[in-house]
Amino acid sequence: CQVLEKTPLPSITPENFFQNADDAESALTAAYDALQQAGTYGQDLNTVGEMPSDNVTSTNGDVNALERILWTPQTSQVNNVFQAAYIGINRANAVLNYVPNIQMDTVRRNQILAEASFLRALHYFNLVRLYGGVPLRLTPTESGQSSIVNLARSTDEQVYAQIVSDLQLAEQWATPGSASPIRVSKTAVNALQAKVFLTRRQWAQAAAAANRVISSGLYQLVPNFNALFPPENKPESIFEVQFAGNADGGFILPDLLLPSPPATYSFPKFNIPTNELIQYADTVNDQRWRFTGEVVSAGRNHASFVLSTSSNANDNGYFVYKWRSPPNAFNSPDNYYVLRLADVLLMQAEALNEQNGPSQAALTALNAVRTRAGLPALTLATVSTQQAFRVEVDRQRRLELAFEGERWFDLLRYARHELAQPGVAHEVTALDIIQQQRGTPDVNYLLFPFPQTEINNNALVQQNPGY
Amino acid sequence: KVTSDNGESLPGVSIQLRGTTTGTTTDPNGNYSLTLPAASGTLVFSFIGFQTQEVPINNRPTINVTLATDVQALSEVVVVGYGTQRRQELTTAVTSVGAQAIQRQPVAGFDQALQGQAPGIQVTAPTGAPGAGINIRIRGNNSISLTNSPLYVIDGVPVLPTYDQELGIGNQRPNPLNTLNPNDIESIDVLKDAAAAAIYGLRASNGVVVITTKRGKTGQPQVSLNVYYGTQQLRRKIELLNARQFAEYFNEANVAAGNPPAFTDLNNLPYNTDWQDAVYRTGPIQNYQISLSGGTDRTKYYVSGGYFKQTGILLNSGFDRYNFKLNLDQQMGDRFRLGTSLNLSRTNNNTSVRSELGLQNSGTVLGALAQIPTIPIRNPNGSYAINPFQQLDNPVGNLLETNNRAIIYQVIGNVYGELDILPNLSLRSSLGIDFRTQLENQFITRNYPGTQNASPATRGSASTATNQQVVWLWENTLTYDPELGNDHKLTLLGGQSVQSSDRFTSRASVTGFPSNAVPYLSAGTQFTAPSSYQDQWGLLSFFARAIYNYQERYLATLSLRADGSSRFAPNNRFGYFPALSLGWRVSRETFFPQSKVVNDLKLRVSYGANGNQEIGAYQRFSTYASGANYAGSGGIQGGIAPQQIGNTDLRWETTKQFNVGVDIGLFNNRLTATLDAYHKRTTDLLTNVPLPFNAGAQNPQIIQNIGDIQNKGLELGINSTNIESQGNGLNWTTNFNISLNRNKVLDIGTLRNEQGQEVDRQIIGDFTITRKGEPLGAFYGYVVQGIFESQQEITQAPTQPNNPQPGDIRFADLNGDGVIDANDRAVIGNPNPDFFAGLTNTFTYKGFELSFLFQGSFGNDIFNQNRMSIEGMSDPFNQTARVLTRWRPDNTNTDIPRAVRYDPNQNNRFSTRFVESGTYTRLKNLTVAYTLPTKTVQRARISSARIYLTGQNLLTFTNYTGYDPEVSADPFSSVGFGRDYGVYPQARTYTAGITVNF
Repeated sequence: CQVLEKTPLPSITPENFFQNADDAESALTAAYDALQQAGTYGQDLNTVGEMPSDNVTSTNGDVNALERILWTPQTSQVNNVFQAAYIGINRANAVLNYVPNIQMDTVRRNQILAEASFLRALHYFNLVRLYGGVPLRLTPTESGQSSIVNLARSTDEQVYAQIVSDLQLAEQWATPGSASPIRVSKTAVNALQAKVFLTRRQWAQAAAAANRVISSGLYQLVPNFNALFPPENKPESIFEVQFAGNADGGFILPDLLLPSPPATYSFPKFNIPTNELIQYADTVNDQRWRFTGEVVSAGRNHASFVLSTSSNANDNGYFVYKWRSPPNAFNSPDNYYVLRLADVLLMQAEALNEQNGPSQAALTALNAVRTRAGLPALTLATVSTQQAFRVEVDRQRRLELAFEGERWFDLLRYARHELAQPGVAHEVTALDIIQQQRGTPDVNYLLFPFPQTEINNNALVQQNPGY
Repeated sequence: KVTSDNGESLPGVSIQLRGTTTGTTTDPNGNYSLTLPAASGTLVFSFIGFQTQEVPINNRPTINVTLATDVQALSEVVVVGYGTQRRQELTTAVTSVGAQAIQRQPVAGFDQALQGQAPGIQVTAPTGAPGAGINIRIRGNNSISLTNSPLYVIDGVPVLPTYDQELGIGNQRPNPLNTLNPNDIESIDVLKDAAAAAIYGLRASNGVVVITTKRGKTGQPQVSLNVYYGTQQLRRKIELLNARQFAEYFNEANVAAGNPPAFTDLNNLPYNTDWQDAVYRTGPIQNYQISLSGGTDRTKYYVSGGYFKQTGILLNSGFDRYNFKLNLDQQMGDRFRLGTSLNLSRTNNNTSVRSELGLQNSGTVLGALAQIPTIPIRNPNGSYAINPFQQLDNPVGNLLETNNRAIIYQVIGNVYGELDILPNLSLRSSLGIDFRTQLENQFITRNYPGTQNASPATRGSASTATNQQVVWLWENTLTYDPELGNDHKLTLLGGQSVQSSDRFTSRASVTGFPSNAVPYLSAGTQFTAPSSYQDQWGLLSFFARAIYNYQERYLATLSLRADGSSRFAPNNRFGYFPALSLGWRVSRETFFPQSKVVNDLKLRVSYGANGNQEIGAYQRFSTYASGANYAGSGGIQGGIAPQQIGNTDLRWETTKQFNVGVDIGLFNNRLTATLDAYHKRTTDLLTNVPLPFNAGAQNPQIIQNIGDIQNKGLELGINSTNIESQGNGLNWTTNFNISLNRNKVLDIGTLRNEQGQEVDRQIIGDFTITRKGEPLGAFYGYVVQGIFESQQEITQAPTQPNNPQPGDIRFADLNGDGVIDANDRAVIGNPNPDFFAGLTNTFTYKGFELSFLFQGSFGNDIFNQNRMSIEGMSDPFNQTARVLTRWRPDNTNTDIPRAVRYDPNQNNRFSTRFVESGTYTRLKNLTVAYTLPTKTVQRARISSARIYLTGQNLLTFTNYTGYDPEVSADPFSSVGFGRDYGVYPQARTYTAGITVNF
């Protein structure tokens, strides 16, 4: 009967959506939009990538659990990152599920599927590094039945296998020959592959993937490190989250990091550079850190951080300065680097060194980053051993990518490297930080716990050990 | 021929030769013929609603009889949904409230007037704001997430009981039931048990209120004029600190926190502002109504028009209504009738008062209590003064610089045709409509104190919203009364109904007005995104009912309704709602002793199922929505993302109710009593259940059918004619009712705890907990044990974080772990009353009438959240006079803690300290009336005239310390009731009126 058939007028159902190329594009746009969430690159992925590490500190209670490694299944970032990643996965799944059936230009359809595969792989990569083997959800959720929403954990191996296979598909179909970091390109896929293989300690594949990016010739290091910030699709950028700076996508993070002004509000800030890092950086005295101006209230004109001399204690001292535009009440228009060339060069150097020890190829990649920072090029004589080279790469990663949400992931990687390969010694690993904060190097804290909400409502998952 | 006392032909009158089975009934024109064995004997004429008459035959060939109306019996006809029944034959729990009880009260809507009138019906005015909605609960709350409001059926048209407010300034929502003028109502019948309500199936689980409006009667045209006028005022002020006392308190609080005192010269405070005096006023209330009714044999009409206006007791608040009513009935030929019921109204709701909101959102009621007395209302330059210690708006400015209006046009009506296919088989078809169009306009001026420090470019804002909804209804019923002889009476009903709704809303708003001169959208400079929305739903229903009695001794009613709803997927589309009720009139048995004491005794029992379907129109669908936009190389691109995860297994909530009742009549029905006991169980509760995150849902919850709630209770209603005199002597009648209901959550599902065990789910709100074994709305917080008197006592007590000091509150360590934390909360109050009652007494003597209604609620708790601000002693807010006895080193024998800025010990957390008894008894209505002697008025060509004085809310007996114990800051929530937070207080009203009939 007509009276009983009422479809939702202002919303869209799967039955009347995914009809044509426009629908495919708008579903893909939504998958990109998931990168702007507070639980992804808008805020929390950066916070979990930095706050536990030796780079930063804070007096803000909201990040206390992260900084002191006191996280629990209730910790908000532990919940937010997990939840937001699956929102992104669900959006990518919608594209991957429906777009193959849409009648449209085949090349563009394949590109769309490649981009969605990349985005799904990126979310799973973040999840598996932080939480271990998570439930693998590969189709859009359109029913609340317990058989659908209760999903058991897959193993690490299964999650990584899915990531590798998604990236293979992405590599096959993604737009080649594009340097634009606005959308996923073939080289962006290669860069992410490099990071995945590096994390898996598959050195040869990591080096090969990194080499495909570097040898593509599509990217150049920005000569002046300071000009790299704020991120705005510069020639070095491989993939970058595009924040609109308004209701369609505001970037929360800068208001949490910057002193007020330019931050909109004054409160205890996140990611305050540690004294140890500042002293370490000043000793190195490179382009990323040296004084370029006078020590006045305007601050040291550092690329990475700024000194503010406000009378308000919340806004006095050193602050991260990589996202600098007026943040406009948690609506900063700045972008966020997910993958950039310097990161890939250092990954290549690391992979080659771990594979075969120091080599000219590894050194070339490392020196490219060093010389851009104003540091002298090293020779194979100065970093002659695998261990010396490893320590130098670790240091360059820390200085180059500080505050960009990479440090804790690197420290986790180093810790797992040491656990897997006796004899390997990184200068500092996540276990050293856990020892320092908790008094014991508890390997269980190399993973977050599963959020309590997931444990409470998904009958098939088990909590990580130790929580 | 048989006619009524006003000349109308009476069809269907039963005529019987006394002592025999010989008899007949009158035809549609009131004529009859009867073959008699002899020319002598006596004929007995009987008809529902008329006094039975016995006429000796005395050899006459033609006997014309005029039957007198039986006032007593007329009121005994009960409207039961798609028909009427005599009360004696009723087998279900139905309470009727007559016109008189409703019209006595000077209120905007009839729902307000139901308070205290009937057992089992709990009526609370959650706020005193003019035009605001009233909460009616029939036999308790059945649902956690869906509406607990009964279904209202006005002249056969189900009316949606809420308007959606598009532009909120508070929680006030206009009340659609205000569309009717209470003076147009003939009777209200409340269907309480499942069997009575089951004929309304899927929407009946909260009971059904059937409203019948006045219709014309055969006779001379009657013009009736009803006018009243009165004033309303604040019932009582709350005693607060004066300027000096405030300054002393605030200095003390600052010093305790290590700050310098705020006031240095206590002897020269320039102002002592009384903010309550500044915002409250005396507001007039007025009502004008004129009606015309009458009719002939074939045409009957009732036409009325009215204007009602209530000016609120807070500045810039009020409600007014124009309404027009037309009821027509036309006989066409012998077998066909046609008619209409139509009500048109325009209501204007001024909802500018920021009432139910807290201080942070510029609440006015709480603002007038909390704003400090040491500042003026306006600064010397004319701007509104603002609290210098903390941005706290100026309540006078909030009121005067805000303008928020909802203008609603509503049409409720139907057109029907009725055909007698056979003398005892009739078909009725009716087409009904509930149409409302709502226009909301809001303007906040540039002078609004909340933004007077903001950038001039952003001051001033205007919003406009519309909401238009049409619900149409087409119903067809067939009624058959087969002839089964004198002992058996059977009425069969079959019917079908289809209903459909279409609603469209839109809104737009602008800020940044260069001037207050043009308060329209076009004058603003900064636009926010406009929006619009549309939804539709439909219902397709079939129903049948059989009412049977044997010698009016054994009674039975069986009914079934099948409802199909668009809200549910095809696999769960149709719900079936059966009911059976039985009655036994013991007093009709031959063994029942003929007694002057007990003249009527009936036992009733009923069982049935009802439903509740009031979820959003599209909850079953998985949907995608726009708005997930992302910047691309060519600018922002529109994205469409998964939005809602649907549930195709959704079903309605089902309430099964068992009811037993006794109706008893004593002393020739001078005293009648009705006692009912019921047990209700609602299953398949539609509740939001959290989803695991891995589902990837934007909002990780889904509505599911999980949970059980139980209500059980007792109700007693007594009507008594204490003194009855012939003619103009003294008459005294009493109506008393008392009800108790016990509500309990039986189940709301389970989840896994941290240890991986399956445990009962609990829903913990800010102040409430919903969990197995507790009633809905149970307050959940800390328990106060006393006040720390010494450092030693603090050291020995369980650890309270933040270094408590002497004078701070000592909270109970309920789980005994030595630390006070969130695990030490417990159920500390119940907002559900133990019982509630109403008592009406009416005295008449000669032309005078005196009537008074006492009404009360007993045993319920109120969370007085206002006191967190105005007895919290931590903020720069004014405080009640009670804090004068606060703890000080030289005043330790007190239950009020020390004053300290920022409240480090969280003395103001939600605890037993703020839970108060809500018990009250109130003289709700007192009316004194005088009907002028007929001889006097007839000289002025007036058939009757009555003048009256009414007082509303005259006396309230309560220990509650807030403005009024009848309060709820969350009027539409099934768990957040009984909380007082900045709620518009009830007024005390005095009116004088006159009713004149020409």
